[in-house]
Amino acid sequence: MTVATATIPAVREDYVEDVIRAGLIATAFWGVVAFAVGVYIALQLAFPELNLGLEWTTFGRLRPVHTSAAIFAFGGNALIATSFLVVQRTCHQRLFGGATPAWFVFWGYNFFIVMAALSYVLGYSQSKEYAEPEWYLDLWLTLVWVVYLVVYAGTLMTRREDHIYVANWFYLAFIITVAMLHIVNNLAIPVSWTGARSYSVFSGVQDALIQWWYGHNAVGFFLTAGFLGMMYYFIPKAAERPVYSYRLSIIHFWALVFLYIWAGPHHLHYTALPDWAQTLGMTFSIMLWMPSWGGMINGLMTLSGAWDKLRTVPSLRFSVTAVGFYGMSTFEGPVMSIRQVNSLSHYTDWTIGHVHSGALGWVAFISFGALYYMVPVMWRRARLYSDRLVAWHFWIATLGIVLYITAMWVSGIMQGLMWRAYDELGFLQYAFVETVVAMHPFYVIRAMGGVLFLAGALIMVYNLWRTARGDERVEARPVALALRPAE
Amino acid sequence: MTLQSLLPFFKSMWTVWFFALFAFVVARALWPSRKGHLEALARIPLDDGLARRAPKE
Repeated sequence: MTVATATIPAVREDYVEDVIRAGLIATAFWGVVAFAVGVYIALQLAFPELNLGLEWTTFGRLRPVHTSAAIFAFGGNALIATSFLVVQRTCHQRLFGGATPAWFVFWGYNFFIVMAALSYVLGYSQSKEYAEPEWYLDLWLTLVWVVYLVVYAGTLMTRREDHIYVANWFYLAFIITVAMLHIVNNLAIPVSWTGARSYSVFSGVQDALIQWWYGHNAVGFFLTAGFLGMMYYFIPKAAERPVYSYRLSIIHFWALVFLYIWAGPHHLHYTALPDWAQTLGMTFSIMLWMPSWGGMINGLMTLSGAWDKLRTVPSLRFSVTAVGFYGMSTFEGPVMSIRQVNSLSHYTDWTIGHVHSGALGWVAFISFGALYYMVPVMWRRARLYSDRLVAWHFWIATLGIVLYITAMWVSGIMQGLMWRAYDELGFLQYAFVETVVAMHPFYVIRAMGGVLFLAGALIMVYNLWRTARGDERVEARPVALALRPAE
Repeated sequence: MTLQSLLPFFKSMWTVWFFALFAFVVARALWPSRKGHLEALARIPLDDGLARRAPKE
């Protein structure tokens, strides 16, 4: 049932907001955890003594703690919190079912994260990247996710606005597709009902294909579609201007969902996967460049004629830079998916650099932009505690990303070239350990980049905490230019 | 010719179905007479009542 927009009151005081505030706190908390663990395991790669000789603290067990904390804990909480805000505000409707199911989603999801991290440290993993939790945790997450879908879709179906705003399309695509990916990729048979171990129902190359169908679409629908929903809401809100082209946003959405789902096989070049399937994945990956850049242009051009807002609205600096990184990593990805390029880049640190230009530059920055916008609004504050600290965060984090990705580019390309170098007799020129030694300086630089990114996040947490308390730092703040007609 | 024998042909037509569906979506989005309506929808987040309070003077 929908009613005309004109009859809708501007503000509904009964929106569910406590769970959103909790989600923002969880996002900031898990962000710091994810970045801190990332720094530690980066240092482990440079200085292996930091494995401490204990099985619980080895790189192999801590690495999934880092990836899950970054993607699912930090990113997931950001997505859930912002989606609950966006769907209520753009539908002029309270969350379907009220606060209780939303709180179940929040606590159920965070319980899953804590249990998953504990299981990794204790050595339980089904050895699928980004899908490490064992069967009993997968079942729990399925239940939580179904409730999330019911809350979200129910709110859309009972909306008091005729049209479903495009940000909601991206969020809904994220929720539905992640459900599908999670269920199929985690189909497994437990060894026993009282044990944690299980076996995948797939095997061999089918298992690999299902895994990378899941893995790449986790990138496509968790780390891209959901955060594009964030972009389509928070950039217009912060800039106080409608998105550059709503028609382009519609084409962006449909092109992305039509193309992304086929791109996974590019993770399996030069494997037992049939050539035609590898070519299919590569072709769709290259085609993805077009909608990705269409979306980037749409986000950036929203600032057209209002670029001065980058000076006056602190959150926009992060959001707009995030869109720039989105454009950069969605160009680099298709290039790396080309089989001949992949023969050099695959299994090297180049891939790690690519992932982090997306994860730090796009996902984290767009989330920071949303946090800086939402915290004053949700805690009913006039402004952030300090705009200057936002600027410090921005430049420290940007420098951290630049150090990280440039170190990994150099390290990865060098690594790939050393692996394929052979002498005049046809023998490999370098032993594996020689490549490891050559990469050591770049591992140290990468860790320094991570330290900077973590330091920036700690500044953000302090700034947001003081903002929530209602403090305002005395400092000169840029003011919006008053526009006057030409004389 | 049975329905069973036609099945492989129609199963292989998914590319065409998807392309036609996508072309329909694009045409509908870009149809000139719909431009004003669609671009007006971009204002939805701006009219949602969520705004910062005015800074203290």
